[in-house]
Amino acid sequence: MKLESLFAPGPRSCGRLALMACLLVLFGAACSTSRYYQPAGGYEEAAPSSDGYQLESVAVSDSTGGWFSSDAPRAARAPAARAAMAPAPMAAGSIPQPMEQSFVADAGPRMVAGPANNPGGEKGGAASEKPRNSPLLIYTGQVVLAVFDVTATQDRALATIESFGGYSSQRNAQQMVFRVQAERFREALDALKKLGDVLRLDWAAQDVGEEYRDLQIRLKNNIDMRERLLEMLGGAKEIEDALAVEQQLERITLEIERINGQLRSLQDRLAYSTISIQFSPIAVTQVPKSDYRLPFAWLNQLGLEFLMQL
Amino acid sequence: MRNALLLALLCASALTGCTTFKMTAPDSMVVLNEPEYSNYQWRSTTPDGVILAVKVIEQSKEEGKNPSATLDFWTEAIRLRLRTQSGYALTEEADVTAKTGEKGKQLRFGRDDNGTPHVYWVTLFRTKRFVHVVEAGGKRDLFEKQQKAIEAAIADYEVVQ
Repeated sequence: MKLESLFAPGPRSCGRLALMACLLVLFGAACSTSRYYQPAGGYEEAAPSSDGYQLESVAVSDSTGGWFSSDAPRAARAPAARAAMAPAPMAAGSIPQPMEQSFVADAGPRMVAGPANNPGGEKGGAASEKPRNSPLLIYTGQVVLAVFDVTATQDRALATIESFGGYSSQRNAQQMVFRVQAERFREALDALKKLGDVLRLDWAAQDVGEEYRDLQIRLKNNIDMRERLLEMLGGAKEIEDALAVEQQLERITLEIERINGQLRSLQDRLAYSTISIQFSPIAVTQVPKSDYRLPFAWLNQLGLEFLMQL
Repeated sequence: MRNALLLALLCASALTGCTTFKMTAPDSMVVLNEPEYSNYQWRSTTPDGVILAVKVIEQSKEEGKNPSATLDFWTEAIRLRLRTQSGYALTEEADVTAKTGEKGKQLRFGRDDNGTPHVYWVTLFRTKRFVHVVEAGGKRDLFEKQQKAIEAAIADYEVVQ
């Protein structure tokens, strides 16, 4: 029996009606976003650390200053600060990992917390009562470099990025794309800038914290729904009911995989910043080639064409 | 370019009045009256257009003091100019001596012009103040008939200090 047939007119048993009602409720729940499930106290309080949420705390010094301090928003200091981060049990501003086991095993992204967002270091009071959505920043940088020898400079750029533990994900005659751990983004960008004359430098820190949290909540909802569907499947007495539940299970499973993929992508972009470098040969005036002329007029008046012109 | 031409004209006109060389035309040639604006101080021709000519260039004071402006420098400059930029092939290079004893260089070039081979010789003598350039050229078959006479004329070339 297909799911649609549950809604078809005809005599129904009380059990089937109850099953239909449950499916409708579950379907609504799966479609809900974090607004419907996020408790007033904030996500962190709602996330049970015991059932798969791997929470990490980061201790960030706000005194990093330096490179970003003069021309970047405060939140953009995160990469420098991340270097000092150490895993710790649940804390405000930390990033919960997805529930799926594959995510638990991953080294998840971290985020700014502690003094950067709570200068007083207060553990209680109003600051701790408000939900804090600390930024999760994806760093990207684009540099246009004027260089003398493009190929040699690209080789040096690759060596430079590898010295920072990064790698090149793309290379062609004019451009290279590098990935480097977010906490080394600043150092790597500084080093790469020195390989030529910087014609243009753009960088951006995209906050994906809300998107990340929404995905995690949707993941949790779907996993919860899957659990309930599994329970229903176990209790189904008729084949038609079981098939209907299995259809929903399949849909929910696909959704869970899709969200997991999105989370993995976000985690990768959070963990590894992207630096694109466009290499441009240094513009120079044309060097005279074989058509050079010495500044001696008589030399340029040698030849049969002059000699034989009577 | 205009300044260079003007400078050459001034140089030529200045040199017209003073004798810096003595050249005797072969019997088969007549000496042409070079106008003041000509690049040559002296030029002669056979009836069939084989030319022998002399131009004397006064080196500027700075060039004269420049140790690199030697006979070899000018020889190399001419060799490069004609070979790499004017399509001449260097067929022979020889040391020559003027009648007055100055050591010189002679570069012998060949060039095909519209399928007709031509010969072009440049002979250089250098003094502290002047570079003497003796040129000879024409169609190869005609030039070869005059070659002995031209070689003799160059051997008789006198540098007047």
